[in-house]
Amino acid sequence: MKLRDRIQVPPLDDERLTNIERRLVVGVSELAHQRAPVARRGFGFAVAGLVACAAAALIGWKLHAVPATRIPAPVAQHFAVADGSKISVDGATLGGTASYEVTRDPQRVVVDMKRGSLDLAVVHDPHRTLVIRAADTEIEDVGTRFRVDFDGATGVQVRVTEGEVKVTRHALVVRVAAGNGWTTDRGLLALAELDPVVVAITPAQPAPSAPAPVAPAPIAKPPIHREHHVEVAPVVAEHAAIPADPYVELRTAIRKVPLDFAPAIDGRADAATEIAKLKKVAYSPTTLGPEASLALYQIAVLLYRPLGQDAEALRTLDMFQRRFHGGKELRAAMWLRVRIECSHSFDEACRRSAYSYQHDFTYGEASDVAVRITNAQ
Amino acid sequence: MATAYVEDVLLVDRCLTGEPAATRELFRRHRARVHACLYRVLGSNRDMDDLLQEAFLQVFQSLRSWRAEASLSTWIDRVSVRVAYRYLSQRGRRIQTDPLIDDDTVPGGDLTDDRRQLARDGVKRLYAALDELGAAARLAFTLHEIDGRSIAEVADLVGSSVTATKLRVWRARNRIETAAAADPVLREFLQGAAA
Repeated sequence: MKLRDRIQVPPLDDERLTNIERRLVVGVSELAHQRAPVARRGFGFAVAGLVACAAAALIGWKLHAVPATRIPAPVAQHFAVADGSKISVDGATLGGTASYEVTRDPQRVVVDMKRGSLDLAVVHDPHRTLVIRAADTEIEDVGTRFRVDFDGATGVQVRVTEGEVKVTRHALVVRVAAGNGWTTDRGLLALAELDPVVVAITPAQPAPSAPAPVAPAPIAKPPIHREHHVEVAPVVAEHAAIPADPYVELRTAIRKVPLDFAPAIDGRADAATEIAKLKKVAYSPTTLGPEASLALYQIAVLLYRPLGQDAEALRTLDMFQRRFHGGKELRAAMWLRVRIECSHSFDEACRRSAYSYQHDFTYGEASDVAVRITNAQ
Repeated sequence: MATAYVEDVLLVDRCLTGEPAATRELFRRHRARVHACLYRVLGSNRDMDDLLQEAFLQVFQSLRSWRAEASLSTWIDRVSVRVAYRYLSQRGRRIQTDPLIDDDTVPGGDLTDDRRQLARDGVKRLYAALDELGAAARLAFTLHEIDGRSIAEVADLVGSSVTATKLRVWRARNRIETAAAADPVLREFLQGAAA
């Protein structure tokens, strides 16, 4: 059908246009007046705020007159564990074969790893967080079970089996949820993508064939916060006790589907520079169409990985879908949304994005995975 | 294009300060396109003046939300399409298609009187057939087939996916062709369009 040229639009006559224009100007000025009460309400809020501040100041002044009881600030405590003992510190249980130092202060407990593997089960206390420090990487718990492997130089590997941790390195923050891992080299990954756990287990002591020589009297250890001392169990057995993430397979399937049109960059330091360059292209008024569409999509990819700024990446994808709904990257963008939404948990948002994907794109590997996500319990 | 963009930004700034001259200028710049868009979607319509005014009121009401990401024209088109959609979706509303008495609506000044009458009747019956479609299908079909926009552009305007828009256009086309099978005037009009 070629109907475009068959139906012509009759022009509106001047009188009708003038009437519309006049009514419009009046309507717009009325709109401006309707906004005025909002301003008056704002003024009311400001007055109420001032009164509240004055009252608070008065109460503060009254309280100031009463001598407050001085609570001595807790002193930072420090102790070192070099033999892989299992210890409990402020609700966190630390086991494994690592040597580390623990420093406790009122705000946080810092575990400074020297090398080895550390298994942690942490009850999150928002007022006193637990931070694992390995070389230039900091791992902060957000209520979780996780494991940290550190080679003693720069290589750090984090595996999260419950809850979530926050990994900070070179001012970049990545949140690692259950079923995921993080390594210095590869960034955020699914647990299944990580190398199998390789831990040097302390060789078992040979059974003495002869009576053992009388050992010298043990040196009394200082009464540190070690609550009990156990033999280092094989780490594999320790891991078997931790409940497995039921979605590991699905997470792996999600990550196996590649992100199309992903930009090639070297290392993390380049991501921010690349985003700045892409922003110039995407937001320039002179750039339209495919170039801007690709740039905006690639910004979202870089924000997601390697930068780990999921919320910002989702906002960029919203913008992409508003501006370039027919762009050739639409399919990839919708899949990227699925990956981001489902990277933490298989919740409503994750399922919604997967459903939208499978609804719009019926065929392909990604669509199959999207169907699995939608049906996941 | 860059100049037009800067002009749009400046004009919007002036509108936001409540300058009546800027309101008039914005209306004059975009009225023809908005009217054409509404006309092609809804057909000759008694409420056209009110709809045009409503569309521009919506534009001025939400002008602050224009973030200069899309061009101002595209953004205004989107608002107009929303107004048309709301109008079409109102419960029980049937579009009052006026008889097309204006010869300007049918192109081709050299047509014979018979052909001209046939074309007028064809347009009238086309919009009568469109009245039987759902709002979303009608919007997609008219924006694509009559307003001449690409599927991707239509999808962007109506806030839907390309696939869904294609499907709506396809279904609407089928319905129109079914109607044309039973109506020789409409059939002849459509055959003329396909030629």
